[in-house]
Amino acid sequence: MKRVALAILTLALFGAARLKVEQALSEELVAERLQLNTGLDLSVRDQVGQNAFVAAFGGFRSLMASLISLEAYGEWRFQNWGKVDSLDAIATKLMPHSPHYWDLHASHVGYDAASFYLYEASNLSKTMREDLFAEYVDKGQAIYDEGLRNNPLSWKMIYRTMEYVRKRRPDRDRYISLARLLLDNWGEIRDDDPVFRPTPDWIERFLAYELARRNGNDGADHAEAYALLKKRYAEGDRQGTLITMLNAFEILNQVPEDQRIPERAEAKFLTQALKDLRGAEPK
Amino acid sequence: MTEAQASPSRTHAIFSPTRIWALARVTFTQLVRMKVFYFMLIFCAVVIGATFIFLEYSFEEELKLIKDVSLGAMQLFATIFAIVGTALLLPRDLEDRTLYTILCKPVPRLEYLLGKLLGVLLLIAISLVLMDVLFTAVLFAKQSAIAARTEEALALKGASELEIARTLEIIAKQGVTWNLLNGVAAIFMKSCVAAAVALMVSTFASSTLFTIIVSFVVYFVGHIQALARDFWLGGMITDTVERLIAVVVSLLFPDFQLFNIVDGVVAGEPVPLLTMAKLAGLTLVYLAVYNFAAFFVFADKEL
Repeated sequence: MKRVALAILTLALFGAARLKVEQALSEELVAERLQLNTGLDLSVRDQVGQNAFVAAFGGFRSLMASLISLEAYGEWRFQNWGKVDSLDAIATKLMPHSPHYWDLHASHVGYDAASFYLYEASNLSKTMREDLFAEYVDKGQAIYDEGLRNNPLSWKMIYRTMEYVRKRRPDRDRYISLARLLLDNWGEIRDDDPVFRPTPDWIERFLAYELARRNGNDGADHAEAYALLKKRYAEGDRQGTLITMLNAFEILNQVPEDQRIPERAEAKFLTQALKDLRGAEPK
Repeated sequence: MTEAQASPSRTHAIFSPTRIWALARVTFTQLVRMKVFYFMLIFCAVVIGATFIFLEYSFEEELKLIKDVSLGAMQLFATIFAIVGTALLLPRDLEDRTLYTILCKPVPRLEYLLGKLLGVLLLIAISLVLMDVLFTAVLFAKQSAIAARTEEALALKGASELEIARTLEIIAKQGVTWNLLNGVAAIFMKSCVAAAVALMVSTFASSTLFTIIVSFVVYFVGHIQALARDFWLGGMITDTVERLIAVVVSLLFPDFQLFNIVDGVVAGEPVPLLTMAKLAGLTLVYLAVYNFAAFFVFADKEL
């Protein structure tokens, strides 16, 4: 018994010696995004149940997230949106550094559930459907925002949020700030979208389009947009919208004929572009 | 009696790696004879079964599921081998009286313990290699099937060669990569520590069941050791009893959470070589200290 006590004392001394080393290594693993900084959010325990929580703690976090996501997929097929939302939320809590789960959650809520309530929930009144639509679209936005906070330099997260604020919940200022974030940090952006991988040229072009449609900052947006479009053109970009926008800017800025680009956009597109530029909302 | 037998030319070494290796091989054979490799059938079923799930979903999720299930199963089997395999050794040797046959020879008890532990670690290592080979093969087959399917679909849509090449490259990044080996190595290291804990417990345990239960408790508590450490060092606890519990957990239990890098690996996070080296170093220190503690108890144990 004396020897057992001495063995325990040895372990305690060893424990004291390794304390700082392990703390430092643990922080290093968090910095390398291999682990979460505060273990698991304890509220997950109530949502997933004790056994699954222990499993998640025991190094099966990713597996639990996959299985919960699979369950959410089952509920998604039956359009059981409340359940889909709660299951997807657990998956994001288990794997907050995985943009895939944030995107899945936001798109289930912001696109699928919102559209369902607007177009398919025939048992509800029009006002209620519109309210639910707006609520779910806002919820989708909140999920993307939270995902971005957890994955600030993830290409997938930024790109999907940009798409959301362009198509689903239009917010030009947000789109522009996200595009700038991408361009300013291009070297550090994590290439993690398995479906789409654009280049800085692509982002510059779309940033120019959105700046052209905003024209805030006393004309500075338009000036920046025109400069970006000219840059893209000089680098060989001949995309249709780019030519149309350049033509419209040349007309608007009264650029002398001999200094204009030789390409000409179709009249109907040019008219629309001029209308967009002249009616651009101030910031 | 020949001259050679009468005067042995070799002197008895105080510490002999050869003896430890001989004990390790015998232990490995002993464990193999317990038909432990039948687990491979279950592993095959689990891994192959995972390939049939999620066929309607994105390839990213399909490949992730195979990685999750396979690495999860590897971790489960490795932990069971480490704890149960080690817990069985000492009582089995006592029961078979093999222990007396070994220790009546000039074999130090430390060597006996090291040999036993090495035998279990050998079993875990070989099991993990076998599981990893199967997992890699299944993942590669799935990845190839997805690549062929996607290439065909893109070609039908009239996608450019560059676009197809890019997509195939993205699929490859989600499939078999060297980084996955870091996850398997971390599982091995975690199992090594679990085995060392079980061996230490078995030196003073009264039964195999006691060793298994205590080792599993240590294993699970070890996963929240980091939390207890944070609470204690961060001064987040004011209650004396809670503080005492946090101190005991922080000092006496190993930090198993440190080895849980598999989730990050599956998510595609690269593991720096230096981090792996630090984890390996920590594992060796754990093995040395737990073996020392085990020897401390076992050295004077009446058998």
